[in-house]
Amino acid sequence: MKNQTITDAIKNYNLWLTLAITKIRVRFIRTALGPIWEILGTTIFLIFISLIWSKLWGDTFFDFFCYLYSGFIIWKAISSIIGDATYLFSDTYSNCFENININPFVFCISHTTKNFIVLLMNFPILIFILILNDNIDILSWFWLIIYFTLFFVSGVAASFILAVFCLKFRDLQFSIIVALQLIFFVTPVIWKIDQLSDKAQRFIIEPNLLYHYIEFFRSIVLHGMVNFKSLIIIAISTFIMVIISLILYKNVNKKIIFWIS
Amino acid sequence: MIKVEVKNLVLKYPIKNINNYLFRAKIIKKIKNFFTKSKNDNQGTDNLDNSITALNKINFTIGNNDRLGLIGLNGSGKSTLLKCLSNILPHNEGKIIIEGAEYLPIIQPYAMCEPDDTLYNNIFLISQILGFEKKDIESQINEILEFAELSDYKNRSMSTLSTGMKFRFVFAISFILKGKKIFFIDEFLTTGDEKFQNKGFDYIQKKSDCIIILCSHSKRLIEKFCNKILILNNGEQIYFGDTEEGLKKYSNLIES
Repeated sequence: MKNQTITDAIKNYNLWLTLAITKIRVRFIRTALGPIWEILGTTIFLIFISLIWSKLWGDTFFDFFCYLYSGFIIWKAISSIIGDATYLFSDTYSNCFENININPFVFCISHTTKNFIVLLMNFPILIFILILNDNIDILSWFWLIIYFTLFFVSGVAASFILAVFCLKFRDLQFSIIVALQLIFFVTPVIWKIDQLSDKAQRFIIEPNLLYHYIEFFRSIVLHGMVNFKSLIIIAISTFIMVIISLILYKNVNKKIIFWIS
Repeated sequence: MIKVEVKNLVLKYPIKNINNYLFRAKIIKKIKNFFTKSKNDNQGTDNLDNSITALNKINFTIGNNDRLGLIGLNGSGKSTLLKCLSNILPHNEGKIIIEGAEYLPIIQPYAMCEPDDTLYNNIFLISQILGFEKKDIESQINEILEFAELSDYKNRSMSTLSTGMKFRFVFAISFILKGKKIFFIDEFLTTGDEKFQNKGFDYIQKKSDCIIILCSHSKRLIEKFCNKILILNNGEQIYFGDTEEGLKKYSNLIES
């Protein structure tokens, strides 16, 4: 077993897929419905929220449900990737680090894959929304593939950065969870951006990277068009995160095991 | 020709005082330093970690069909040396040369399993983490379960297995699957019942063209199983060579 490079980690798809699928299987073990709970739970939750909140915002149930669903599933995936990454090295895979020499990116890819698969489980409802909004054309699928590719790559890079920093500075684990809860309320997941003034949009919404991840996805799913501003921001942030994660990897790879034990 | 060669291996291990990480500990230290006008202001605040020399100038070479026993008192560096050889812990000085075959560290593999998942799925999981190919696992899964005497437990969760059963499970995965010829075995392998221990070690003895480094407290096991011995004490190499003479030196070390 040689020293694995990042390329080896990427090529080792059998391992990171097995790790990801095992985590999903174990989560639903001994349940009768299994992973169906993922789609069922989210859909029931959002239907009930939509019933009330559509009245509050003066919207139709269907429009609000589509809006909420398309934003919430992305938010849920992002918050799971960020939240779980905070203890990825210090807890989830600490035993692996102590037992074998595996490139840490294997665990970051596996972790992102797990959350990505959970996100894709919502696709039946998503396709339903795409059909009803008449956006099920080839171009929409093309942009969705671009989006999911960027989402996945940035997810892996962000997982590594967070996992390393949270391993070294354990207070970050708790502060990030608190920050995530706060960010949920300042990100237009259940409310709409036009409910804010132009000034508030400029200062609260625009600098929020998570908003752009949600907005780009929503623009394709709900309107069949692309928000290029969000696309550029996502692409640049992905590039920056990849660079940071590579620099971090080069500098801390050999220290990770000492920070675990 | 396969060989494991270690030259002047040194490993410094950072030691953490967990209490130093507490915010109040940092504040108290700052106040103490202020009033005592300590010149070394970094101590206890910025410089939280000290290090110890966990392994110092380790040297040995073993070749084809050698069985090396690592023996020493608690905290002497046996497991640390195995982790160093397995590239889990990066060393500070010296060289580790492993040639001719792939190695397999068997330290605590069952710590990597999913306790709620079935034995069958855990075979795939652990084997792949240990670096075995999926196709090899698929073709030998029944052989693994039969050797471990766990065929009836195939669809039971790992958490229902006793420690001895876990030992059998890990042992079967490590040695039935083909591809590895150098094994670094930690002392947990001595936790199984004597019947399976004998069966397991007989199986290993018959394996040709391989190197085994076994870490254990059991003089009986090392005497029976190993042709070479390395004695460690506080990270220092006390003796490397013939098993019989080494065990006498180890007995003297215990009595002193």
